[in-house]
Parts: sequence; C-alpha cells; structure tokens
Amino acid sequence: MKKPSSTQLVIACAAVSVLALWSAINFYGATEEAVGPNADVYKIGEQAARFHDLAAALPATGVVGYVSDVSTDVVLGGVLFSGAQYTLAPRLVTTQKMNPAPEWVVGDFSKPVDFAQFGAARGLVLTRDFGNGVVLYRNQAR
Amino acid sequence: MLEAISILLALPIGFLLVRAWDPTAALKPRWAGALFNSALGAGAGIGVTSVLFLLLDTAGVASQAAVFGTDTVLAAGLGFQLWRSRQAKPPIDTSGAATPRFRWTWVLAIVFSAVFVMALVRLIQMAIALPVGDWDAWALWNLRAKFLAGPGDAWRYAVSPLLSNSHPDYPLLLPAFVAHVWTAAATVDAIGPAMTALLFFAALVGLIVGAVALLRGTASGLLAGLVLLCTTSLLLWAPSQYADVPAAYYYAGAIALLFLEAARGENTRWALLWAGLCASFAAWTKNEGIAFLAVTLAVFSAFTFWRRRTEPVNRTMWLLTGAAPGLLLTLWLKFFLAPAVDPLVTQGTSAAAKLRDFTRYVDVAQGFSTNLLHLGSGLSHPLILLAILALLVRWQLQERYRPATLIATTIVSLMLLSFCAVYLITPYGLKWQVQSSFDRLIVQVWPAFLLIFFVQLRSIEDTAISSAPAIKKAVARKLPPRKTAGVK
Repeated sequence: MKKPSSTQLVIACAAVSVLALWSAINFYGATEEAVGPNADVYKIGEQAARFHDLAAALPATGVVGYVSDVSTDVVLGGVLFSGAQYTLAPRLVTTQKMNPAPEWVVGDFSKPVDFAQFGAARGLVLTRDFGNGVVLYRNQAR
Repeated sequence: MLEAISILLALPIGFLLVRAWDPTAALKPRWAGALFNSALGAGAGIGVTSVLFLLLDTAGVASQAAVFGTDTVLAAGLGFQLWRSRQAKPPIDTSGAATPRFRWTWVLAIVFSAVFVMALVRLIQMAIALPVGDWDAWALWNLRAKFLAGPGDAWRYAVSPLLSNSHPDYPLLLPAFVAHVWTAAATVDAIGPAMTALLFFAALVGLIVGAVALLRGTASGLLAGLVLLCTTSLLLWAPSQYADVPAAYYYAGAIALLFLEAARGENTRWALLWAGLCASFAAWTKNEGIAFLAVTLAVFSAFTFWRRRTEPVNRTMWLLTGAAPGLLLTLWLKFFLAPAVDPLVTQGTSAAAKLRDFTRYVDVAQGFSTNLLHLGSGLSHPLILLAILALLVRWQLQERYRPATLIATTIVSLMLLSFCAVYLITPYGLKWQVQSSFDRLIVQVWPAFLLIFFVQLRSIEDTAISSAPAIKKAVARKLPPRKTAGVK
C-alpha cells in the first residue's frame, strides 16, 4: 500500500485532535444532568437516613425478611427492595421463603397503609414504625 | 482517608510485581514502558490484594490490622526484592537510541493531556454527584462488597442463593477489592468504590496509550488515547462503578501483552505470564471474562501449535501459569461457593427453541448496530476517527505482529459472537436485555479492538521519517536501525 505523505499525516493528526477536543467539550454538555442534584434518580443515597433507626434495631448480621406494598416485579418495587438490601447490608434482606422463617421482617412502603393489618395478613406482628414508610415486623411463625 | 491509603497501597504492590517480572524491559520509548507498567501494575495490585483479602475473609481473619499488615509486608517484601536485584545487576541502559520523532508529536501530547484532564475532571464530578454509583453498583457489586466486609461469616451472604435477584454466582474481584478497602478503613464509604472505578478508567487509558506507543511509536499511542477518550459510552460507564470497565481493562491488558510478547522476540516469557494473569483477572471480574479466559487460552494454544512457532508447549504453559489464579478462583466459586442459579444456565433445552426464532437474530443485530452508533456522538464518533486514520495514514502489518494479530482478532470476534449467542438464548426479555447491556458489552471489547486497529495502522513516526528526507538523514546518523524487516 502506498505510503502517505507528510501532509496526509498532519491532516490526520490535526483532524483527530480537533475532533477529540470537540468531543470533550460536547461531553460536558451531554452530562449536565449527571452532575446535577438529580443524578441519583433512584434516591439510593437517601435510603441510609430512611433506614438509619431500623438498622440500629436489627442485629449486625443475619437474614432479614422483606415485605412491601409494591411487588418487586415492577421497577418501583425493585428499586425499593434493592435499595433496602444495599442499605441494610451486611444483613441479608430477602423476599424468599425460608425454613425457619427469619425472625425480623422489614416493611418498606411507598404509601401510607395500615401497617399492622398488612403484617397480620402475612403472619407478622408490627414491632415498630420508624416513619417514612419503614416498619419492623416480628415473625409469628417462629 | 484510610480508604485512599488502602487503595494507594495496592498500587505499589502491583507496580513492584510488574517491575519484578517486567514485560516491557528493553522496549522503547521507556516513558511508554513506564506508563504501561504503571497501568498494568494498578490492575495487578487491585487483583492481587482483592484475592488476598478474599482468602483472609473466608479464613475468618480479615480485619483492619490483617489487611494493612498483609499489604504492607507484601509491598515491603517486593520493594526489598527489587532493591536487591538492582544491587545485583546494573539497570538496563535506556539512554541510547531514541524513537524517531514525528514533528508534531508534542502537539498531540498537549491535546491528549488536555482531553484526558477534561474527561477525568468531568468523571470526578459525576462520581461526586452519584457516589453510590448506578443500579448494578449498589444492587449487585457494592452490595456484595458490604457482605464481604461484614463481621464474622457475613461474607457467605455474598454467594448465598437467597440473593437470587442479585446474581450470587458473579465473580468477586471488584466486590472483594472494595471490601478490602472498606475493611482497611473500618468504614463503609462511597469513596472507595468511586475511586476504584476512576482508577480502572485511568489505568485503561494508560494501558492503551503505553502499549500502542511501545508497539507503534509515541504519536500512534497518543492518537489511540484520543480515540479512546472520544468513546462516549466508555466515559459514561467509567464512574458507574460497574464491572465492565475493569473487564475492558483486563481484556485490553491481555491483548496488549500478547502483542508485546511478539515485539520482544523470544527471550522472555514474562509478557505471556502477565497476559495469562490479565485474562484470569478478567474471569474473576465478570462472567463474560470467563468466556474471555477460555477463548484466549484456546485460541492462543491452537494458533501457537498450528503455526508451529517456537516452543509451543512452553509458551502455552507460561500463559496457563499466569491464568492459574483466576482459573482456580473461578472454579472454586462456580463449583463450591455459589453453584450457578442464573436462569441463563439453568433453563435447559428451552434455549434451543430460541435459536430457531429468526426475529431474535434481527433484534440482536439491530441492538449491536444501534449500540455501536452510540459509542460516540456526531463527527467525533470514534468510528469516524478510525476511518479518517485508515484513509490518511493507511495500513502496514508487520510480520512479527501477524500471529498476535490473528490471535487477538479471533479472540475479540469470538467474544462478540459469545455475547450475541447469550442474547439469542437469554431467558429474560430480549429487547430489554439488549437495551440494558449491549452498550456495556461493546465497551468491554472496544479498547482491545482499538489496540488491534492501531497495531495494523502505519506507525506515524516511521512514516514521517521516511517521508521527510532531511529528517531521514539526521535520524540515520544518530539512530541504530529499528527492526523493520519483514514489513509488508
């Protein structure tokens, strides 16, 4: 293949340089929202404060159950569950049935409901309401 | 603060390991060798300290003192070894021949520095704005890091089948390193995973620039770095704390080391050892990395034996020796700690039925092309930059890189095919999975692809020298001949 001339090399390098600088400037424009106050769209950073008192009431490790008014199959339910899982780790928060069932069950709600009745329907006794949709149940089955 | 110290302590461990078995010794320019070794050392240090932490953790002795103690003893031991070896033999003279210079390399260096600093500043801003990272970071990788950093037997939760929504059988390099940082600092803070993510990005850039500069000269290395920094999707995923950029780093490291082994000739096999280690750390980073390791071992062995290159058994053994740690850890994880529960693996014969559905092939092809277009934006799209370079600088495949090129191209092609195959049989919604992950999979192999591209591209320096008679004469007086025999 024929060798390129010096001019071709300079043009190639200049083109890549100019376009790379342009790309870097464009990247700033394209990521305005990603550096703004709404970057945490799932509000995971806020879960630590929301679960703070509940975490203090739970053992440092161990398996903890989870109930919510939103199914984990929908996006909101998935966000709530995974957010609780992350925030409360190294406790393992699970929705899976276990034998024996976990003694403590986290209630994580998206709207006000009758927490005691919600728990009773699932064999759970309301132990404490921490506010902001966070409650702690104790499993009656144990 | 202790988190930063713990991360920074992992780096000298890696650097000293790389210095002890230097894969770029005698290669020039030396700044590129130093850059490549530093970048390789960062990934090696993270990998090694991550594995050590996991072993301490599963043995029930991971504590702040144990983590700092192990890291300090390891760094001191390697430092002492390096000091002794320096006393025993004089350092290699690197003051001799210099690489021929392209007249405008300094401009490229300034532009590259500016673009890199601009990108890094923005990525730091993004990491500060979203310290917990994106979805997989908190739902998957850092969740498992919290278990590994937890007290007592809490590490077992990281591989518990009760985590079925969170892939308990995923490899543990990244979570174990973050847990190592958190245990050393005795606190769980977002700065650890955020710094780790940015470190992998910076190391990836250093790896590509250093490798291409060693293989094709400084100007080519800087151009490769610029094209990489124009890859918008790579920049977007870099601060997300996902494992895709670390996986891309280890893939690129392995491919670069296969080329560097070809550049070094037959004298040493350290490059192959490091290539194996990079591939094995890729397997210990992501499930796709397991495919990368398997493909790399199979393709390298097959080509080495097929082409009857010197010492095929010996060379394959070096690669395999490097791959051993990650290979053993992966087998331990997949067969003992967390047997596969992913529906992809457990779906059985229903996968075969999906292969007969033609519309799935169309969806995968559309997903691939769409995400390839989203690698960059507008005129600065990396594919446009590569087209400009291919048209104006043109190709020059050197004979010594031909086998490594064949091996690397086959590995990257098979990786892309494996991604497509997984999409074809995925038990999840195909469109959703393609939309939510194909761009990250392309980012995984993109730096390795760039390496292959730039090795095939004419060296800017060599071409500039041969195109300018005055410079050619001056260089001929000052420089020893470079190994250009066999140029096609």
